[in-house]
Amino acid sequence: MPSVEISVSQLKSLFENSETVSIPTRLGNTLLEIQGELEYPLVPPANDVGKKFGVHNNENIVQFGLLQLEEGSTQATMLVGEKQRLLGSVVKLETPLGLLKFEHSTGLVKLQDVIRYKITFKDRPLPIM
Amino acid sequence: TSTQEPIKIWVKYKEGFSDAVRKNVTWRSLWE
Amino acid sequence: MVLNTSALFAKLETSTDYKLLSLTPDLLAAIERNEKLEFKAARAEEAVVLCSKDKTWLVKQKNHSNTVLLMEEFAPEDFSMDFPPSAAPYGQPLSFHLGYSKQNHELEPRLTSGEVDISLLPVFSGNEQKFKEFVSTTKCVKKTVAELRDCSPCSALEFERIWPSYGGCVVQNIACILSRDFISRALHITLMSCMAESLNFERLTLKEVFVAVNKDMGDEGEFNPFSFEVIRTILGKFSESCDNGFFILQRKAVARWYGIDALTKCASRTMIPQEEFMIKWKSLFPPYFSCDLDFNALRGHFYRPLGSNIQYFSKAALPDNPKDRFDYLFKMQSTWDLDDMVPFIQELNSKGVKMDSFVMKYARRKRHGKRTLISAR
Repeated sequence: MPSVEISVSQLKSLFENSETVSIPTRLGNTLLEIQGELEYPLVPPANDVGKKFGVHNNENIVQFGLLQLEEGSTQATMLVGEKQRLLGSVVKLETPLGLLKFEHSTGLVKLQDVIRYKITFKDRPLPIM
Repeated sequence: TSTQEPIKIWVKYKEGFSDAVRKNVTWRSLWE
Repeated sequence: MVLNTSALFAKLETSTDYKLLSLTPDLLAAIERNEKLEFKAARAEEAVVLCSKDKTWLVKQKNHSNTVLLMEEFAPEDFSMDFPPSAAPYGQPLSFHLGYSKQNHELEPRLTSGEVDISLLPVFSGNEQKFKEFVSTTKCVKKTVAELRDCSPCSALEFERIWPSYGGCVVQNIACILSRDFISRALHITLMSCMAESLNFERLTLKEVFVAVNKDMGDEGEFNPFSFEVIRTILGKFSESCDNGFFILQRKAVARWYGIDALTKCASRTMIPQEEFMIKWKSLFPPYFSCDLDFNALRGHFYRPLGSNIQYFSKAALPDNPKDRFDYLFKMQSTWDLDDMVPFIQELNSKGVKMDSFVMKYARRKRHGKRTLISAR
């Protein structure tokens, strides 16, 4: 029977006081957008000399960069890997985005968050100086 | 060993941005 | 100048459980009103719609070529941070973010009209035994109304309105459509019974109407086709329901139904003069039932073979192709009043241009006083 209710229970508190909004949502989500593809090995390499790979909650993770935001400004800088520096900005989304989680095990859909800002990098990466 | 490739973590920049395609979503693809 | 530096991480295997949905103002408003939201589809391979209490949106997928990473703050466990020397000017990270899902598309809702597909439902024409046989021997869709509602790309309130308007009903717990003849019989008996019991057509209740209709029914044990559900369908189709639970009879809708019945009965094999038709139409109603007869309301169900007299015509006979359809219409009647023609061609005008401009594409247009006459090119 193809229909499913979208559960919004987690979000009720969000709408009760949605005056203050910040880049990370109050539930802690941040949306990062890069024009192009962010590439990194999909299995931890043997020669991880830069100690970029690790494990978190039994999942492999990689440290791909550093993000710097200046308080009171919309400018953002991101270092990716060893060589790239990207200049970007924080923008308010024209249409907020709902973050939906599709739980395959239970068949439930949850609206987990409402995202109103994103950090976006549209320009060609620059060398790190 | 020193012959191994350096680990590549980088942004492969794309000149253009395309979001022109909009297609219907089937129930099946919603869950993919 | 305060700088916040954050170390960025990503899972090597990101989660595919997440999607981003554009929250248009009307959708956001529905969420804020705490309305139930649902994704629905008729079948697994069919298009998905999003429904609130009273609205339906078609869900479109907008693919993009950017990297969109959903990130959340986290505390790396047992992680020997090692930053390249080049990162030194940016200072030590104060926070840590982990990308957990990559998004290559967004879901976009587009407001649409809810739909109910009744094409494969069984038809009930008043005989329960025949219905039982039909249902057990044919491959029609056997669903309860709740099941049908769940798989209809349609919001709950839209369903409530559309379902009775199609003559949707329940017989033997199976969702079905009442036949045209049976609706006519049930409507006629409903009107007569309400009048016999002096019920107020502006303040009907389902229960009162049901009791009124069943007062004159045969002995107990004899099958009575005018069940509570049938009366519910009749009221749903021919009246407007108010918030306070009352139904207001829509005399225009009743008059139109009788008008189409009159066309099929008196003007289906041969044409008749319009004045004569009006008398026959009037004669079909229960005695003393008053309503205005607006002949124009029957447009889309008749044509004028020789220009003046009218004859019944079913739109179902028309070809789908626009050019063929116009050819067909002009073969039936060489010159049409645009207003008479519109119901037969309206759906071809998918771009929604003005009708008198639209017809120019396939036909010749001539003004005649206030009338617009359409003929073949």
